[in-house]
Amino acid sequence: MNTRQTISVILLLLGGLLAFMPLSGRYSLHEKPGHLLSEVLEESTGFTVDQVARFVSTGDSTVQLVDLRLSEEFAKFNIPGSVNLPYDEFLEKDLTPYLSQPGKKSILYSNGDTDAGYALVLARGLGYKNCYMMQGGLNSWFETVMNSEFTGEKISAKENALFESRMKARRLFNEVNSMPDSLKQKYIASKRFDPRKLDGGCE
Amino acid sequence: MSRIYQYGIVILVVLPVAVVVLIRALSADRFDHNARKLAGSSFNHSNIIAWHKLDSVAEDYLIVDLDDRGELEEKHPEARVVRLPAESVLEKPGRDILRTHGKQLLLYSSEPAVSAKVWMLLSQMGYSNLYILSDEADPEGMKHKFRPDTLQTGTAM
Repeated sequence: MNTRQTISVILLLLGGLLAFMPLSGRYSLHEKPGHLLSEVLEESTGFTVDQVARFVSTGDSTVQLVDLRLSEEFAKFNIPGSVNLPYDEFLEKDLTPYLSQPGKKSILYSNGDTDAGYALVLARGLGYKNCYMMQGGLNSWFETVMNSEFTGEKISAKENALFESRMKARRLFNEVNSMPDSLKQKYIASKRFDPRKLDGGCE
Repeated sequence: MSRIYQYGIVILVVLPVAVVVLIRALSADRFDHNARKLAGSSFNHSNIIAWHKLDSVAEDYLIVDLDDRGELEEKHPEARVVRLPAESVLEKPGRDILRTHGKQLLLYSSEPAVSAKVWMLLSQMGYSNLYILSDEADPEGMKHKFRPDTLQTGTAM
C-alpha cells in the first residue's frame, strides 16, 4: 500500500468514526429527546406521598430515597432512609451509587416539584432508568403525612389503612429526626427489612 | 480510465460518510453536549419568574401554556399566551414557535413538575431564552416547620 492509499484509509476510518460514534460526552444526555419527553411526562415516573409513606413505614429495601436539597436542609430533617444528593451537585458527582443500586428504585424529592422535575429529566436522560420522583415534594409530605387528621365519624377499611400508614410514617419521621445525628443512621440500618430474608419462614 | 474508476470509488465511499456526519452534526433532534452548562440557571432558580413579577420582565415575552386547557387565557386575558401541550412541544408547530420566536419564552403549567421537566429537556437541546412562569414566588421554598421532639430518648432503638 503506498502513502496515498494509507492516508486515504486513515481518513476514511476517521470519517467513519465521526459518522457513527456516539455524540454525547460524559455529562450530556444520550436519549432521543422525543422519547425522553414521553417518558418523563408519564404518570408512572411519579410516586405519591402516600406511596412513599408506605415504603418508609414498612422499611422497603427496594426503594432508595434521594434528597435533592442542600446538605444543611437535609441535616435539619429528612425522610428516614434518604441519602443526600444536593441538586446543584447533580452533574458533578458520579451518580451511579445514588441512582443505580441493583434492584432498587431511586425516588428523588426536594421541597417542591421543580428541582425533582429537573433531576428526573437529567437522570433518565443520562441512562438511569430506575429513577422516579415523589410528587409534591416535602411540602406535600408535611401536608399529607405530618399534618394528617381524620375528622369523619366513620372510617372505611381503605381509609383506615391509609391513615395507619401515614401515622407510622409520621411517627418514624419524628423519632428519627429528633435523634442526635450519630444515632439516626444506626436506627435506619437496624429497622430496614430485606424481603429476601422472608423466604423459607422465620429464622 | 482507471483514474476515473479510482476517484469514483473514493467518492462513492467518502460521500455517504460525509453526508452522515453532516446530518448528525446539524440534526435538531439531539441533545447538546454540556449538560451542566445548559442546566446552569436551574441551580440557582434564576430561570424562574413569578407571576407577580411578570411586569418587570421585558415586554417582549410569550407565555407557552403547556396545559392546553385554555384556563390561563381566561384568567389572564391581558397576557400574551400560546397553547402548546407539553406532549407536543417537540412536534413541528411547537419547534417552530420555540425556534423562530425571538422573545423570552415563559413556560407555564399548573403542575410545576411539568414546566420544570419541559424546561430542562428543551434547555438540554440548546434552546435558550426559556424561563418558567411560576404561580409561586419560591416554588422550592419549605412552607412548613419541623420541631424536633427533644423529649425523645433512645427508645426508638
